[in-house]
Amino acid sequence: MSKKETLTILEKIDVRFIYGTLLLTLAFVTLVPIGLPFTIGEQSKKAYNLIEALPAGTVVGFVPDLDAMGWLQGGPPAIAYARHLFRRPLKIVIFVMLSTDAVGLTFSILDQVKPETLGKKYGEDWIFLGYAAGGEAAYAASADDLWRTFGGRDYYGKSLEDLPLAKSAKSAKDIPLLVVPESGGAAILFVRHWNARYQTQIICNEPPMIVPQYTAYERAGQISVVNSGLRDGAEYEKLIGQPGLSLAAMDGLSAATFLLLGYIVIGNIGFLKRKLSKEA
Amino acid sequence: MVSSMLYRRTAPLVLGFLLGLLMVLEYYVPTDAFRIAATSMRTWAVVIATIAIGFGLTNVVRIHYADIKSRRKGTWPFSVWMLVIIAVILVLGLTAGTQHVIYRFFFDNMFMLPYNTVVTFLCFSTFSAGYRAVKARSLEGILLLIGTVFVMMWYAPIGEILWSGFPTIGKWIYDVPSTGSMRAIMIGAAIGSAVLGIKTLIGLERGWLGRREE
Repeated sequence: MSKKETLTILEKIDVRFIYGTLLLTLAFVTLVPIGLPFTIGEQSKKAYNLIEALPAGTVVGFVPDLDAMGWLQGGPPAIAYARHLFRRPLKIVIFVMLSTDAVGLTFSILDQVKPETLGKKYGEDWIFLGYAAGGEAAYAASADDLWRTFGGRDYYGKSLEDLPLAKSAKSAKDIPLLVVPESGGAAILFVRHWNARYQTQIICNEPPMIVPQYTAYERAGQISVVNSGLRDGAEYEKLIGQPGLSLAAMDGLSAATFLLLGYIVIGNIGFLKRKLSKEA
Repeated sequence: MVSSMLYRRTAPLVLGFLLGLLMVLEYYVPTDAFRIAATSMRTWAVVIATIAIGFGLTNVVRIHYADIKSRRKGTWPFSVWMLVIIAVILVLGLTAGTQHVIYRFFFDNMFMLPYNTVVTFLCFSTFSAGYRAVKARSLEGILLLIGTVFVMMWYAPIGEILWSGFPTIGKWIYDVPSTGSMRAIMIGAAIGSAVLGIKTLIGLERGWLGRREE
């Protein structure tokens, strides 16, 4: 094989080979977990401390507005947040307004958390209002009147009049903090309608590619903490002492990142050598 | 003709203007009357959106039924499958409830799993796209390459094990240039949205009417 052919191969590795090596790498770290250590960042600590500092009995909104596509990235952090919230002596109001998938995914989260095993009673310690359609209109309406937005009933059809917790959670005025693990879009709507008018604090977990957009709101003080996908989810699981899927994904993340870096270096070596030999 | 124009164009524009004005006035004139009226309007929007979901479902069924009837080439078997699944989920959800084990089985295994599989395929194609796209072809390419390497190494635990500088520099790139650029884009988009809102309010922007001018 000539030098030119070698350089061409480096630059144009067959995509099947790339997929094959990625698959083998991920399979290896899944079957043989390495458990690479990592430090816990300031953002995760901020979110954790904010929830830890809440006085007992504080009403908190938990809004897992995830869709099916964002579940892999946002689901494990959502479970970590929910575990922390349910462990603390807080009153939790769960509702979703952006994605219809989020109702089913909320049940997936609750299946993992199992509030009843933590001594939490439905109606007194937590309620689930379900999904309200309307997009931004629903966010705006819910800030003024949560009961009317969700038709005066919880997801199971019980009247909110019959749920003790619902009486302390009628609007954004009663809910000082929202925890919003989502696929993108909900936190900004909460900023516009809950934070702008009622100064509600917001903790959100976003897919990494859109975090810079939300960081701008964090710098302005409109969002309290922005966490980034699985990495901050893994840090949060370490903080609450309950390892989960985010931590499990870190080895795969490291392996895939290292492999991609290797391919990028190989591709650039091939490209630069070809370019230099052409110029020579 | 005149009455047709009145209710097809003029009436929606006037209604849109009045309701839009109410929502703006609620913010700038914080009286109880405007607040109550605006709150009612927002609740009405939620009700209309809920009805729209049912309307959307009806439309989907109508379109796919038409495809089945006309045996649209290549897609009509999928339309049959889709209508079957819609019917099963609808009947199951309305009769057994969304908490029923069979409904949850459908949701977890026939909706979420295939969806997650598709997302995983995207991961593979994004991986190979990263290998092909991140090349030092120009100054911008070199900057992209450097930024990509540092941000990737910041995000993955392996980065801080290889070198302690990766998290520091990667986080800086994420927090400063990236956020700054996004902030500029967001300000531009916000100004554009405000202009579009004003144009819609005063009737200059009529795309939402959904029909051609006569």
